[in-house]
Amino acid sequence: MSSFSTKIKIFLLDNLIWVLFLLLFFVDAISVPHFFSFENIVNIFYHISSLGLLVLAEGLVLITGQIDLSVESTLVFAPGVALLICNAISPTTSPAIMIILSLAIGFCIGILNGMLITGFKMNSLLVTLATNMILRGLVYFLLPFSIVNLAPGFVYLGSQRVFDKIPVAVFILIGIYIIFTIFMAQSRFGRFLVATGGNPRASYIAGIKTNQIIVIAFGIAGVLAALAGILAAGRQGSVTNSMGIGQSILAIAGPILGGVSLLGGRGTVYGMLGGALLLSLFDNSLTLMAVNVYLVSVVKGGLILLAIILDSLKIKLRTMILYRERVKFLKSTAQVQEPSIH
Amino acid sequence: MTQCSVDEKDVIALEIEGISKIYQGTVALNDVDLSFKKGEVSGIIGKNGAGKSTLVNIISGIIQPSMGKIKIKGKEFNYLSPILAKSLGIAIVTQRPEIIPDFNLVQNLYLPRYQQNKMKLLNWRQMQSHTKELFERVGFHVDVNLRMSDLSLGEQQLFLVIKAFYHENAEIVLLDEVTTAFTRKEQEYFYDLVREQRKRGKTIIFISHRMDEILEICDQVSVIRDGRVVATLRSSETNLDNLSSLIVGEAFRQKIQEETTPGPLVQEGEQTHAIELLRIDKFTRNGYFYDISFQLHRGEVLGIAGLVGSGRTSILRAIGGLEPCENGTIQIEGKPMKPFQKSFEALKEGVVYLTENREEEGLVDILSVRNNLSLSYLARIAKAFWINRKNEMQLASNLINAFEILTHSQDEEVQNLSGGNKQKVLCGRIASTEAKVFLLDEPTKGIDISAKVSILKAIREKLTKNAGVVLTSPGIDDLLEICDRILVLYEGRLIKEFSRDCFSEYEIYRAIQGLI
Repeated sequence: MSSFSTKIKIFLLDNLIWVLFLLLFFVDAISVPHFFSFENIVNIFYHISSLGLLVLAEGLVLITGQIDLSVESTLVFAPGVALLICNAISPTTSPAIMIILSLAIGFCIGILNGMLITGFKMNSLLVTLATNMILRGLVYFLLPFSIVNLAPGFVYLGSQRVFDKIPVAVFILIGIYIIFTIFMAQSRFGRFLVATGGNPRASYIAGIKTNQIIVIAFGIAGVLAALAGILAAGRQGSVTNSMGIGQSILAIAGPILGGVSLLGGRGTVYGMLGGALLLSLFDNSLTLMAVNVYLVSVVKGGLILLAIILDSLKIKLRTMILYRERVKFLKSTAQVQEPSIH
Repeated sequence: MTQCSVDEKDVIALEIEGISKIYQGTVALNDVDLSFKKGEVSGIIGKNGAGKSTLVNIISGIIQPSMGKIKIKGKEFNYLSPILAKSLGIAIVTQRPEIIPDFNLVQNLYLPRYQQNKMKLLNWRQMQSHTKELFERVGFHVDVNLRMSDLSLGEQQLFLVIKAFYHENAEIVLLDEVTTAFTRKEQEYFYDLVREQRKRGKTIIFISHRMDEILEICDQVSVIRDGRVVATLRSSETNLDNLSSLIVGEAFRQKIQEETTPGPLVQEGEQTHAIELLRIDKFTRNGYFYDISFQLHRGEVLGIAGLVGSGRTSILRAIGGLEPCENGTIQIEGKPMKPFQKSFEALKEGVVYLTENREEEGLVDILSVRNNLSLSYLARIAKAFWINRKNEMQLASNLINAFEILTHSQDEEVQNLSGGNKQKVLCGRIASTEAKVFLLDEPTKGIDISAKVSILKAIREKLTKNAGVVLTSPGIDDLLEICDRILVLYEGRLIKEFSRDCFSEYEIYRAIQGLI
């Protein structure tokens, strides 16, 4: 078995994002005024609740070795069109139905993306680039500048707080991450998702319906994007047709920060959460320090670059540590068989 | 090009002296002396793993020998590099065409040295017209503007042969199993080409599996067995029978005698053998295999022997639902069904395929040993939504013990394992499916001898418990060791069947060559 110190090293490397997060958190707590307060910490989570779901959506797709650029448009298309339909049928539709319809539309968009990609063996980057434009165009065409006067039930998820303190959205975010952590670690589907991303051909030969796995992954991404849209709409009290623009890039950056590989197969759900939180933490502390908003973008870009560099160093370091461990193991077995080797 | 006179004929163009190549644990080449004369075609023949490719790689500079000397044009070298070999006028055409598929023929012909004009721009027009001229001169009727990927495998090989002879104008040309993909017409063209070049004084080294080819085209032939040159003969002084016994070796007589007394393998009981698990009827895919019919019984290991390109892999993949099959029926335990279209359909009916390409199609290399082992089990047997951790760990540790997989933990990523252990992981994975029919495509490819022994043992003992095994192998040694029956495949057709009590390496080797 591996030695204890190796285990610690590997553990820290595998959770590099959380090491970074905690480090930055302490630095901020000491140096940034008003940072270390209950309200602000809740704020960091609240701030990321919508994007955090997008990060998870994108992360799941990335694990299968695909990419989805259309999440940012699904985010507004799903709730927007659901609201239009509901309002057209009856202005007093129950908010629960509106929410379910939004999620269903998101699911359909994802499934459609997945079927296009697997059915025609097309590149996911190109397909979702196209569907993203289509969806965004439809949103501009169908939605007025914004839909206001949303039903209180519909905005509940995004705007209300439990005990006047913690937003419902934060509970949803954490709840969903917990569900997916268990789901990825313990379910058959989660395992197949990782295997498909790791080696699609081998997984197919091993008997996994890889196309189906990819389609479902896109479907789940669509649902999560729709939910992210509902939270975002709730927070601002309206659905505006420019919602979500530019968020796909951040949604990709989050998982990458959290250790998800663009090649597929690698990544953990809690790593994605770490990535999302790190993005939010940066936003928050830089805003508190009153840094120019454009410079925030510069810093974020730099952060992503740093993460990629760290990631490649991390993989090298990890391989090296494991290689040493393996050599030790082989030596020890060789000594058992032939003690006279020295 | 120099026309050579008669007295120039005995000039030795390339000589190797005392070449040995030692890999960890095995000797690939053992003190090999060979000389190749100018203006002659020299053949090298031997079984799989006899050391042919090692020798070719040493001459072309890809591998450095452990000992020995290479003499070219009066100069002595301890080893060559690819660049040095090229500058000495050595060209090689290998079994797998080394081309850029998306480049056209002109671009591939001039690769990597393109003609430039004074402005340092590439002079495509000139190159194109030169290529056209060349193709016309040699009678290779293919449009030069086609992309390489538009050509058939045989045409690609011919193209490379032409490139080596005419464009690179190499004096020593190694042709390493280039003929496997040729049609009859291409074969004739190729012979003409080689004969014409021989007349021009080129030194041609022709490596092949096929005795008839060697005898047809070569002036002299060297037989390699177990890393040694056992004989070098003039083609006119030998024949197929003589050659096959040299290739297989003297030991074959003894082996037959040992094996004619039925070993313990066949005594497993008539009853288990009677249950038919799989029946293939008239499987055909044009261009790959024709009219393949056979049955497989419970507890049986059925070997399929054949040269590279004889269709071994395609047949197994067609049965396993990975490649199409145009015609034919399949019966599982007497139940007729359509040939499978998808791998998971086959798996559902209890037919699993083990790929010959374990790195690319077998393992998910970033997953742990445990997760790799349980993949097919999860897909076929455990239908629950959640994975039962305890069961999975138990399954993995059972398989690790049963297949003797050397790993320090179930959690180790499978990419850190050695080749043999990786292969054992794959065997363990398919064993976990409790399938009825195992299709094993070259399970002993590229692994060391001890892993090979343990895998063959595991196939014989573990996989045949309630199932049947169809096995292919590049060499026939493995098949002789563990098969109950061997079917011989030649150019996509089954031409002969051997049952264990009449196994003979010599006969099987000849059958593989199409000699029955």
